[in-house]
Amino acid sequence: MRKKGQMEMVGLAVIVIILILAFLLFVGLNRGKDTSAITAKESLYANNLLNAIMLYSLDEGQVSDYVKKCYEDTGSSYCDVGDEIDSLMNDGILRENQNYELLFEEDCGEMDNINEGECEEEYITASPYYVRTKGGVCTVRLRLC
Amino acid sequence: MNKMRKKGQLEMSITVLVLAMFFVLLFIGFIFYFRFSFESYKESESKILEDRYNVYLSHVINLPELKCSFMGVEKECLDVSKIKSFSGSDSYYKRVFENVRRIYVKEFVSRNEEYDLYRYGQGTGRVYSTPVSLYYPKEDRYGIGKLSVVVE
Repeated sequence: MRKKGQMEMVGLAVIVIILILAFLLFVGLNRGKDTSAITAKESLYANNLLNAIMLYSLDEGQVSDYVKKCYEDTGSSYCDVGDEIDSLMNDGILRENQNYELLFEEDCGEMDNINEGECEEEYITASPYYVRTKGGVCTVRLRLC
Repeated sequence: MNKMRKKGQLEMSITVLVLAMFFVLLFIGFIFYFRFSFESYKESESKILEDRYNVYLSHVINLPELKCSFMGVEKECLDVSKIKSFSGSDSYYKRVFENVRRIYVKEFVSRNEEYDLYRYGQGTGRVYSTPVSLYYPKEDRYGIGKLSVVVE
């Protein structure tokens, strides 16, 4: 009789433990991290940064002017703004340990891509910035990681 | 009769033990549940605040009092001459910026100057920043700065 009672007790305890574990699992799964706020904040940051870079004035015009001139004068010094952009980015604009890639795609002539580190898996992308060149439209992308 | 009483006592103590164990486990479950709920509320709070201060940053960038405009056409930058003459002491800005303690722009590259756009109280707290393009009309040149909002 006593053994039967003990078995019933253990059985009930097991059921209660299973129910509690199921409940905790349910709560844990429903808590999936919401990254939308982080993404919105980072997107705003990336978009403003790309806009500021493209408007930035170098010795002979803005960065966007350099893209246009590079298309017209292939291989000229206008196509390499890496050093200027790099020193600008490392002047306190980027956060600590943040890397970036500035990519010039499509009709950008021989404009060199600029990067510090490589953004492979997780990165934040700014909305593309378009520069009208003589050959069409150059698409500039910024990735932060 | 005595044997029956003992059996009854045993069954009662088993029931009491089972109930005690059940309530202990239930209590532990509740502790976990409230801990998760509390963390979740904290996350929601910081998400709402981040959204709100992002809105403030966007709002400042788009204020006509500060934004660059060329022959009536606006551009995505802040005009430094407008920044220098801007005064955020008007009561209108207190209504707009509510619990913002300070808004300022810091220049990067060569100058490193800081312009206060708005200040209420000590001006200290949590800082939200974003890069901005700065236009210098006298030199017809663009620089880069950081727009920051300090909140309680």
